[in-house]
Amino acid sequence: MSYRWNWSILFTEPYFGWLLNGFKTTVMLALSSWAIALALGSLLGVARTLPGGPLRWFATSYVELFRNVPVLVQMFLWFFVLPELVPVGIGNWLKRGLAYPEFFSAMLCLGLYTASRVAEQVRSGIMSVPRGLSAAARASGLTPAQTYRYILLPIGFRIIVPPLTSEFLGIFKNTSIALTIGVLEITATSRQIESYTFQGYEAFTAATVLYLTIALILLFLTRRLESRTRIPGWISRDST
Amino acid sequence: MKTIRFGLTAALLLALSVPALAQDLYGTLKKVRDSKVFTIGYREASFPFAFYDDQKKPTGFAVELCTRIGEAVKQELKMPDIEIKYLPINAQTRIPLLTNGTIDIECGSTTNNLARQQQVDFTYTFYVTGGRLLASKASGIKEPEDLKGKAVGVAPGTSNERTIKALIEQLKLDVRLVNVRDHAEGMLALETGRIDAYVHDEVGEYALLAKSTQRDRFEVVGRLLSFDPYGLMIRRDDSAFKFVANRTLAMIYRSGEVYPMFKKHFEPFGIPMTPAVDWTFKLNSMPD
Repeated sequence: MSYRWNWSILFTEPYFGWLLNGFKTTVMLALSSWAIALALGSLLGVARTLPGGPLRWFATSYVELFRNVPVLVQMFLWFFVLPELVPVGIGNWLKRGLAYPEFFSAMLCLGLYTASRVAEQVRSGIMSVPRGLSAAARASGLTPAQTYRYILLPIGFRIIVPPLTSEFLGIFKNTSIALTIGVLEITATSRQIESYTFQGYEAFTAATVLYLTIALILLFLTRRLESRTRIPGWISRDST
Repeated sequence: MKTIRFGLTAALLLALSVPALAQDLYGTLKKVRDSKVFTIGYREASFPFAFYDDQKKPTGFAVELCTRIGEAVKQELKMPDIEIKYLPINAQTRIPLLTNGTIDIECGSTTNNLARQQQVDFTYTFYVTGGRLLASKASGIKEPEDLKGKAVGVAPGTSNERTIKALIEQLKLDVRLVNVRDHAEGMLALETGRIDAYVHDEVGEYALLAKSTQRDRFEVVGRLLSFDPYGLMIRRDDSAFKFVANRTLAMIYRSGEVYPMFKKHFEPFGIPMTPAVDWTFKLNSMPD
């Protein structure tokens, strides 16, 4: 191995600034996509549990479509193909009018993809509420909407907090796919530093440490959330 | 008596020096002698330097030079049974694979610069080019000054990125820089109207144009923005191997063999020989 290590490269400008910007981009992309994913995913998940009709059919097709096409392909479709399919005016706005077309496409892509996964979690959460509870709700005169509002959703969401947090962690890792359409997030930044300086090991170590830091902080926060929202006696984890 | 003693000394010296020579091998030459394999790392889409031919075999100007260096290594070690292997690499893997010994030489279109020389070494220059603008004819861009208010694409991490950033600063231009993953995507961004111009090495732009289905809409314009000498990348502190490689290149340049070789690889892309390239070959034709 004839590699010449130079860790100080990470703390010299402009490379330090690049890493910092990459870190910011990753966090912003993950949070904004998560907002889309959580909102849309919850609606789709509820629609999946409806007794039937076009809404349920739409939600099921959505989930199957977005969950089964690789994110990398979806990223490419949103960024390169979509602007060519819509009318020229809108296409040009998508390509040139937006302040950050790459960021926007990546946010949309990750948000819509993760929404399909969140929808599945929400559906399983609602399904795991014992049938007797919703039957009792209906028997005591609640409308279907009220049953969802007061019984199914509050319990369902609290059940799925642990799997949802792992989806949340996942979206941070998936942001790295945005580098394929030119978003300078953490991974893209380390590649850029590698090309400039040929100090790739240091650059990718920095990326690893940054991802790990994000994951550990989130893990700490979500653990607290989990223990606060846990329904006593409902999930058996650390209740022995 | 004197002659006998001289003869003995000479014989002794000779006897000592032959195995000594073999043991003195170090770096790449030693590694190749021990493993009987010389591995060439090649880029898969660096036209016309390293790419695949119709049979999916690596070809190109740099690949041919590297193969000649491999042959020279065989001769140097007097081991004709050494196998020359080809391994595809990319911008992310070239440094790790070179420094850990998986490949012995890199064939592509890597710019030799001083920052990179802190990590690796380069052979004699085999091509010189520089950044230029590849612009759509409709945009009216002729020189970098015309980029005002336009969207310009660049692949992050390339020497072209440095060039265009410095130029924008210097000319105080209001330009929107758009990052693309690689040159093929840069061309795609140009074709779909996402950007007005793309910054890349002149030779790479001609290669992109040659492969584009819409080549009539674009042209390479403006002055040369930078000076980028290409070298074959080898490990640092490996003078013995570097000498064999450079001697091979100098011989190819000096004998004039390089000109038909150049023509063979560059003509299909419509890339002419420039005076700078001609001088590169002449300046590196070290005499024996």
